[in-house]
Amino acid sequence: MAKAKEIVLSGEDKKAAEELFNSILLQEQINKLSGFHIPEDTMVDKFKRMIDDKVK
Amino acid sequence: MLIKSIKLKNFRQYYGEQKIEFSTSKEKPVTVILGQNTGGKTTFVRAFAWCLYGGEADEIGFLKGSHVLNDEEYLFLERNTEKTGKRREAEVELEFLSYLDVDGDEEITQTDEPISYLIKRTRVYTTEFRKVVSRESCKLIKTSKYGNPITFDSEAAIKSIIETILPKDLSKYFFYWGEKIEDIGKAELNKAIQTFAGLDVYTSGIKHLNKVLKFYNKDSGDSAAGDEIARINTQIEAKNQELAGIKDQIRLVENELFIASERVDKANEDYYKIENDIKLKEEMERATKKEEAIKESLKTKNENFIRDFDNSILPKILVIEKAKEALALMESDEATKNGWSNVSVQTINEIIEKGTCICGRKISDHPEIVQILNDQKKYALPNALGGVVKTFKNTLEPLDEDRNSYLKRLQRDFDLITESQDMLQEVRREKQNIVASEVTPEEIETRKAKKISAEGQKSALEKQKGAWEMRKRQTEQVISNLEKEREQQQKFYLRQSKLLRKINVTEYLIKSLEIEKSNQEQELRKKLIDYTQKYFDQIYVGEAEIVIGKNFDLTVVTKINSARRINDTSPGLEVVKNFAFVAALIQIAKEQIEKEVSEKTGRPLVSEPYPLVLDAPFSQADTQHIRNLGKLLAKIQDQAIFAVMEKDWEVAKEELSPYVGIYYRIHKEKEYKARFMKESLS
Repeated sequence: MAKAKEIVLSGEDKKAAEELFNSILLQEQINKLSGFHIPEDTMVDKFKRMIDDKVK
Repeated sequence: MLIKSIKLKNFRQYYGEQKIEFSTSKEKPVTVILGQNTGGKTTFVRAFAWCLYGGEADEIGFLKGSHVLNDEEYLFLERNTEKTGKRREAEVELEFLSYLDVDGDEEITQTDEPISYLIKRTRVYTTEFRKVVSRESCKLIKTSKYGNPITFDSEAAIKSIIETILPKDLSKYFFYWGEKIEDIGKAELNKAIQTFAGLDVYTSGIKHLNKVLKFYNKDSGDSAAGDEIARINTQIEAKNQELAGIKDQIRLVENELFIASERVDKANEDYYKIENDIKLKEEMERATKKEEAIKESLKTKNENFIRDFDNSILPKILVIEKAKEALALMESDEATKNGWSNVSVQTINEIIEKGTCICGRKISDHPEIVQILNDQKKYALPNALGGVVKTFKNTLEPLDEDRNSYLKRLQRDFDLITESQDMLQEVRREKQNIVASEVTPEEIETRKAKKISAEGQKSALEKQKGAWEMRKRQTEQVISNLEKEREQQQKFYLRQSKLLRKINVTEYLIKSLEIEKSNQEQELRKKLIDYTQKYFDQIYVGEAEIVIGKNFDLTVVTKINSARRINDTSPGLEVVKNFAFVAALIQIAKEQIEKEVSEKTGRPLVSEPYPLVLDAPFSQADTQHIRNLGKLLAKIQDQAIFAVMEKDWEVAKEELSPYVGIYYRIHKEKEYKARFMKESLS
């Protein structure tokens, strides 16, 4: 994962971001396998939930 | 993936069932399919993609709304739409080898001996309700050297297996059909390469995360919860100061109240010290009043007694006593006892003479009554005193009663006087027993006034304390409300703060995806330039440089000197350039597959070969370039299947022949009937 240096995150949030980075890429890979047929709203909701769950 | 064979059944112009095999040898990896224009070369190449990935005819380059079934067979159905249930099917069966053992559940292993995969895709066309409808199905059989064949019927499992061995996006660079080579320079390469290199995943992720960011930004609003908390804190602080002041006041009042209570206690003590004196004084006053009352009463009673002791009555009383004595003497006489009072002898004689009693009764017939009457004459006047005595007695009796009553009244008056005299004596004794108080009435009043004053002060202070305590409760309530409000704001602030963190994390993710995408794109661009230049140099006769633009558009620049460059746009060069680019893409695609498999299996993929299936690869190229292309293509691929026009083959075969393992020729019998004919290597 590349480092977005200008955005400063706490250690906890950085860890969450790193985990989220991989999960998001995985979800997008699955989306790609489906021919990008997963509705956009579904993907957005999913990502929002993932971030909501990780950033506590 | 090395393709062993393909079997076509009623697939477009390939009528009936036809199977051809491909060379898989390392020494002679090329299979050549010779054909004329419109002979069926393009359809043949498209059959590979359809078998592996399925879909409608237009997805593999045919016209939208067309079908994959042989036209003659399709026309048969169209002519029979009145009859439901007529059926025809198009089918492609592909057998290939792979060193990847895939199960469709993401389990991948690399094997030393190749696994055989047989994939059969069928589209069944039937007549239904005056229409021709179609349904697609697929089956995959996996056979390894050591195990029994495993059959997969599920579209999802088959898709997963095929996508693992050769992803659909990458397959475009292994199965080229029609004019694709020529179109490479014109196509939207940027998007294609993004997909090919997996960069579209980053693009999609960035797009979705930007939408998430919009949600968060919308939620965050423009709240100033922090300022609100500061404002409430100021208010709470002010109220707390006020409360401290009130508490000080309460303490002050409590102190004063304590002093006042002491004062009240002292006043009470002083007052109750003389309580006994006050009582004595009160008792004396009461006894004196009682004495006066008794004296008054006695005076009245004496007066009554004197009034009752009347001198005129007294002699009568004395006479009565003597008269009573005389009466007693007289009553002792017989005549007094037996005689009738107020009856004279004359009266009795008259009754006897008449012979009738005063009451009307005849007495003449009753001598006993006459006898009584005659006897009575002895006591009657003037013959006796009996009647006189009787009359005297009757007169005396009421007088005696009066005398008795009078004497009783006198006795009562006397008793009352005696009683009052006794009471007077008693109260005088009481008074003598009461010790006279030394406390003056003024002193008592002073102490009482002090007591009332102290109690009044205490009561006023208690009221004051009550008022302060009420104010304290009100202030505490205000503070409590402010604290509740602050708590709400703090929760809101925390939520806002959390939202800000989420926004930061999302922005961080977007930035990271952008950087990662950019890095990978740069790496890909560099590789593409290197590989394209390398292959271009092998094909192109001369010295030129490939430049890849921002959108992956290719440009060939020819060096005139170090200062000047001229873009070259000849058609032949365009083909060479595109081939070099395709070869570079294939190389990168292979590396991509190797990388993905390595990530999944944990060890590098070194042995998986891939085919290159090309339709009319040498069209537009000049003879020298065709030779060079042929030589290069044979070298760079593990397996090459070329559908070539005969005129081009005449040029290319000089370089390619040593690598060709199998020849076929497409024989076009009719417009919609093509057949493969195997040719000898000579």
